[in-house]
Amino acid sequence: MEQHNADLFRLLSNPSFLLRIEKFPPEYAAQLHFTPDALGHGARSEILLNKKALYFKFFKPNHDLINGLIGDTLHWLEKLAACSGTELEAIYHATCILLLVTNDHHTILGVHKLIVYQMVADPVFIETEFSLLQNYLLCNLDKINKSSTLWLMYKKVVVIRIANGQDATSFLDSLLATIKGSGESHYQSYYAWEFCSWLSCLFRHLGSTGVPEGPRYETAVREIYAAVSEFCHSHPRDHSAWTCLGNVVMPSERKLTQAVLETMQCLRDCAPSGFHSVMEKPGPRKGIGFLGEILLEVTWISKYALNQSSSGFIKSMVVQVAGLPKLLGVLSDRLESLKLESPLLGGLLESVVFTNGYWDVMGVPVFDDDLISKAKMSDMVELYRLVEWLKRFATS
Amino acid sequence: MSFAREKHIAYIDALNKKQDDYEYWLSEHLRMNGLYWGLTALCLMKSPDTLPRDDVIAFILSCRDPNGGFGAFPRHDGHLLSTLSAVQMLATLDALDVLAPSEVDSIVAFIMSLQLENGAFQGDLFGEVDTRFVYTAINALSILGRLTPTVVDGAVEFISQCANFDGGYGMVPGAESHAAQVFTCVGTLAITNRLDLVDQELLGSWLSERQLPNGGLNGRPEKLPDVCYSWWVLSSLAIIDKLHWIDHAKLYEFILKSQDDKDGGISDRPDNQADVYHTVFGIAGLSLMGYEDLVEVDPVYCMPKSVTDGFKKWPYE
Repeated sequence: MEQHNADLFRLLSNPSFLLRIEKFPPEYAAQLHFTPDALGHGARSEILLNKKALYFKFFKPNHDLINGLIGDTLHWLEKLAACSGTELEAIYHATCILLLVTNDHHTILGVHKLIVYQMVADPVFIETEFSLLQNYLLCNLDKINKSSTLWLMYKKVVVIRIANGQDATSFLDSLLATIKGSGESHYQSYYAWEFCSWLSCLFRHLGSTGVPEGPRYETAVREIYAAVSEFCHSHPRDHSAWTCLGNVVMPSERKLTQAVLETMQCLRDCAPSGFHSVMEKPGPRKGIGFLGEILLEVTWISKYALNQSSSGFIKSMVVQVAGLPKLLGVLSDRLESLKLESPLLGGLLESVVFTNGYWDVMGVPVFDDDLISKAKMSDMVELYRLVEWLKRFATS
Repeated sequence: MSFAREKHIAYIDALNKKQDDYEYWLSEHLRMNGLYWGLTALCLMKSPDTLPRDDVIAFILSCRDPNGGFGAFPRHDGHLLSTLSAVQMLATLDALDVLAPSEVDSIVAFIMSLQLENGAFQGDLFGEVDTRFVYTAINALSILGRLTPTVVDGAVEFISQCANFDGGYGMVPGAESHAAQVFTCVGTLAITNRLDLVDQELLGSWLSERQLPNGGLNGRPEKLPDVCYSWWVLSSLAIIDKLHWIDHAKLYEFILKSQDDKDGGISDRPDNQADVYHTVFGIAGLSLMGYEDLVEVDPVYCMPKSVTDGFKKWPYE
């Protein structure tokens, strides 16, 4: 079993591979197969795993191994301290493979974290753990790629790398590829985009701490902005990505504070003490100006708002990404011109009433035989709702 | 389509008897939560005895972790999520007295040890911080009658930091609004008697917009409907006294369409595979709307109202 585990681990943690888990694969075994890389790094091999094979060949023996270890009441730290290097490696491999099947198994997560924390001073180990998590977060299964616990483990490893003195901007491309790849796999990935918000806030913070590489972090925030903005415009209905964009260009003070707290939380029990003081004593936060970019975004948002009938995703991007008065003006003008174009339909807007938290149309004639009027009316009501909704924030 | 009560009862009853199925062992780490979901669904369907009371209590007690909490399965490490499920089930079964006072003390100490300086809670020492865990901790302490001003004030402060411009709440300050997080935040504020901090008109509006033309509710704008939001959204609306802000008849229809009318159970949306998680939250949603002669559910605790009526209310006298 240990050799099987070690072999699989080498594949899973290899940055040249992409991981796919198939529920109904053609054959009953873990296998390799090659496909072009979706991330644009050229040809990249793909690990194809069968869910049942994963259970019988890997989950059950590893589950039995860990169960054997949790049979007594000793604290995990004591148990791990008593292990030889080879035993520790076997347990680590077992936790990695079990997390691929049961990513929210709290006991396994705890053991995995303890081992990683014991190895913080080993850059090769940490780099391998980073690649492993990256492969998991890019995996095709939603259960894995959107896992809150795996994203948190990834965050911990990023912090360890920075705390160990690595310049995070040197692996920013990898981080952005993971965020965007995961965002592609899972529409509106809550944890992927929240991770990205944290990253940009952390970089802003580091840029203000007076560390020599500070200016590089400022540049990195702009790179994050460019990547997230590009993703948003190619996925205009991805509410989570737009929320993240707001946090990148204009994070609130509490968001910045939260990012620092989360970073400190990752450092508990594991990182070099020097880094704690860097995190704890920032200089005055330097604003990274995004005025030009915000105005550009607002122009685009106005176009989306005018061209798409559903307003759900637009609301938060407007308020988060700012530019509310300008957008409200554009939309109000558009609504007035629609009313002038079709006075009959415009008059019907008088029958829109706010009821039960929603602007609803009351007593409007049915346009079953007049599809053009029906569509126009629908667009106009959606626009009316959006304008009314935005007015709430324009006055507050 | 009618509510397949008997099939749902049989479906839940069968779940605990599938120990030869590999899926049973893959979900071992969720067993305590799964048992809570199953027991609660059965109680709401007036069939609490389907799962033998003594067996359920014995299982719960077998999951005690020496660190004070409950694990998801015997010998698993304690976690807030499984600890809450254990406490909820013991209360539902009127069996909290199986815990000696010193055991209650150690459960309380375990929960309190997970509160951070900013008032948030982590789920365990892995360090995941989220409004879910604040709710979980406050709920469990409330059932045990052991809230304190320090714990409550910190939790309320953290939750208030998680409020967003749109009236909703996210998992941490500045995170996107999400209906499940809204429930945990509003639930915490309800238990701690601080609903005055909620912008109820704005939140009600955001929650009412979660209903889609097919009657189902989603958790965020632009997402697909999912039966579990029949609970997260509806209970939040109930807590702020705006339960009527969505169309009940259409949601009822959506939940019934998501039933497996052959084998029982409810899935996330029509034609998908049923599971016990969506089954309980679908049934709890129906209970909140007053359909199908179900036992009344408490929107704050997701437990029978007859049980929660006995909890000590904060602030304590």
